[in-house]
Amino acid sequence: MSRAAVVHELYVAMRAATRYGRAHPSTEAAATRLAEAIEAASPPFALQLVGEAVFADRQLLPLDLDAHRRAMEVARAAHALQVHELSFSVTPSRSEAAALAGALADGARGREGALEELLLRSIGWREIPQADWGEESQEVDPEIFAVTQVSLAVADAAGLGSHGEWRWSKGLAIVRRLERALASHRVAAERTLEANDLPWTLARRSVSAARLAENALSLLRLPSSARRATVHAALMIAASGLRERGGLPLEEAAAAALDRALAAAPPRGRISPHRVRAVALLRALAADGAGDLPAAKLVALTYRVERDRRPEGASFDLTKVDLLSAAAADETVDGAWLRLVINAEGVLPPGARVVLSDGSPGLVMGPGDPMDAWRPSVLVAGRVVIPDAPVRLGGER
Amino acid sequence: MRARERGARVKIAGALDALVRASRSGAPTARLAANLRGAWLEHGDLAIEIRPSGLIVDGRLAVPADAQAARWALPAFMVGARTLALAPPLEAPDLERFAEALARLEVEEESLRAFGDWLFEDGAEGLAVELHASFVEVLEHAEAAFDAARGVRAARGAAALPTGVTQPIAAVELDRAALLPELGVDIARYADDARARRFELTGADLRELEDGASDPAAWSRAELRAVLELPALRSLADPHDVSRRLLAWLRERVEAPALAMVTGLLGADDAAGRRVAAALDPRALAGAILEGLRFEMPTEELGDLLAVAPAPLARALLHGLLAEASRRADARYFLTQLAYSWPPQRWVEVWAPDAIEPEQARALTRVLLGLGLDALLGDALEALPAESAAAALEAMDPEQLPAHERAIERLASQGDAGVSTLVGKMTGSTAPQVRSFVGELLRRHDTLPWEPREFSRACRHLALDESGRDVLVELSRSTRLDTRLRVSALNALRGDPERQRRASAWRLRELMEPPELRAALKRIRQTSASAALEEA
Repeated sequence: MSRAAVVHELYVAMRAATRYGRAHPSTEAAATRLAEAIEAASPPFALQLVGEAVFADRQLLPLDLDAHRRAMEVARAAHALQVHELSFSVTPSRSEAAALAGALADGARGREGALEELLLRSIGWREIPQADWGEESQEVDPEIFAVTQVSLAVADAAGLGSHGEWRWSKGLAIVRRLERALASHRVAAERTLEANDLPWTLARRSVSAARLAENALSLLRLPSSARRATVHAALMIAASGLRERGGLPLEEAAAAALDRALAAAPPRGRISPHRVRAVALLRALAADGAGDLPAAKLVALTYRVERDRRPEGASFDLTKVDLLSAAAADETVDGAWLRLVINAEGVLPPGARVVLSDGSPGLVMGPGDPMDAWRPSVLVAGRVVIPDAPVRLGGER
Repeated sequence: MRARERGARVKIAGALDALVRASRSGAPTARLAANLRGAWLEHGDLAIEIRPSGLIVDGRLAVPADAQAARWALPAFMVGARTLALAPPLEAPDLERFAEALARLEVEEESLRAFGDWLFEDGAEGLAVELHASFVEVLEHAEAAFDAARGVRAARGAAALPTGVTQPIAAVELDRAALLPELGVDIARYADDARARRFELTGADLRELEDGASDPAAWSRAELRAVLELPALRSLADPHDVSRRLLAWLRERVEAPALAMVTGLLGADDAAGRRVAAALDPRALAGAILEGLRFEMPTEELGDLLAVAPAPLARALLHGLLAEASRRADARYFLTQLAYSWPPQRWVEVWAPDAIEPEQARALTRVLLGLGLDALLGDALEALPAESAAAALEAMDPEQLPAHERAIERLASQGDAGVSTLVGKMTGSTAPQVRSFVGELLRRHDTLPWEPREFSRACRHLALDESGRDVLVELSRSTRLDTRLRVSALNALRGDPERQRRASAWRLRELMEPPELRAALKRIRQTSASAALEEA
């Protein structure tokens, strides 16, 4: 029996308990069937009741419309009890199943805390913070949302590898996460990538390149198709061209990304406009440098920044402001796109190492005084402050 | 909103669902899609909301979901799709593809993921789909949010970040970075520039970047190049879409890569290339090239194209170029340059001379003369319609005309009035062979309806030498020639009394001549007699 059947039996038992009470034979019969369904579903497993969906061990349960409606009644009852996950370690006894059904019935009637009174050997439950998010995304803390999405993007990027056919779906997921993260809280998204002391892995650098592109393009009014393709191309080139230190020259990185992109067959043999556009960018970069596609210049810039972040022949990593300084001093870099990037990142981007007026070193966390870019919010000795006087960059004399 | 209009809007949601169901059952969808498109375009502001319970229009449940109707609403909602609206241009096949994707949609993770990706990849062309986080993304977020919350609290200052970043920053690292030649890090200069606001962007800068990054033509060109140059994409391309984009590119500006692509397609030996080539309408292609052609560009690529193009395409191009060349010197020069990269026999193969207009013929003549292809010009003149041939001959120098006697003879034998103009043109030459040719022409074709003024000028021209004056005597006595022309011939002999006498010698036939001629002859004879008396 499937785990969807467990949800069904949960619903039936909850309804029986609601209608007839816990001790009624119908409720006991429903509890028995619930216990049997759980046994048939081979515990241990867990059901997550998140948003408007039901997952079993984090896999979406395939429910038809009626089953979904029933599941949502169970979910609403569980949410009323501050529960988003029910775990079944072993097959419950009939009385345990009945107790769970009764607690859900209480939840359906709005009685909070019904589960707290229970102590069940085989059934566990927990609240998942942020699990009610979905339709009401505005209620989610934007900073937390941005940080989560960036973290998930880096985790996704770890699965991309630097060889083999391009995993378009994963790439799209990263682009989508970055898009939402930046729309939610731009600075938090940037800080998550830039201002922490975790190693600069290939995944982190790849996501950082894509974020740089997304952040810069967010200052322009562009069709989403152009923006997404550019960000995806930046991700593909970075993931395919960057090495532990340094990376391939741009044209080679673009060619490698192009090979990977073309190696993946499109679903149902029909290529989407997004794929064509991303491939066109890669081809332009691989063949013509940038061709006559202005967006390709931004992709080239993002790749350069992340390639130089961990320079070959050095044992240290550079911060964003070092990289922007280097690009600014390079006449081959397109000036307009670089200025756009600097405007998007801020002249003192998060992660920049600065020196305060009293000589103490600090780390830029984000914008501070809106009237003075040189008074950002700075982490100094474990505290985030907006300094009274302008800071100077760590490398300035 | 009136009930009738509301009903029509509700029907659009119903029609969309019907299209999805038809697609699922394998029934024909083209007509349904076309009807839906028409109805939706009439209500362009309509947005269909998607809910698990069904489709909502103007705040009311228009299509309740059940096992059959709007079955796709729940999975679409799970993917994060919330509203559907028009994003023109919308074509019926766009709706068919969208319905097909919805028909395949199941409450199953892989299916949902693929549909979500498809929407995010702008697969739903012609429609704007408001896309929220999918249910799977909600779970991922919920699972990861705890760690994120801790990090955010740290960033806000509630707790220290990881210790590494709070350590004093080793300036030596930056110094070392600055020493790397490939980096050229110059923090001080960057700081100075930033303080001097040298990195600021003006509104104009932003607009320029925006225009460049969103330029649909530039994207279309790049995409087209990718599709046509990369076999993996070419085999998947929709030939009509490729053809449409290619024409749009050419119309905007004919560039060497675009022409090279067309040439490659016309000679393609792969199935995909041939499909695209077949979708290219020769007239439309020629029209697009002629519209976007700039005559300062090199001609090699167009020459390569003309060398392999099917005759209808090459002909349309050639005629279009000739038409331009008849108006513009740069086009003429371009055509001349082009002809160097194109074998002359190809001109004859493709040009369909019977369709060449007089102005085009003039341009063609200038081009062929410029190339020194006189022989080809002779062939051309014979093949052109009379009016165009006359125009072509007019475009030549008078000294060149005797070499095209056959063509002129043809015109003369057809009684073409253009011969008069040619004769008039030749009177501008002092070359004896030209004068002789004019004389022969007038003598041989004394029945032609010569234009009197041109004829008169020709007579004066013939009077300049002995042989010419002999011709004038003949002409003046030719009974087939128009009377006014004969008088012109007589008058032209005024400086040669001896030949004038011969021309005006009385004949019995004179009694049957028109009165004005008789008068003219009489006047000449009287003048001659007076002159003789004076002399005596």
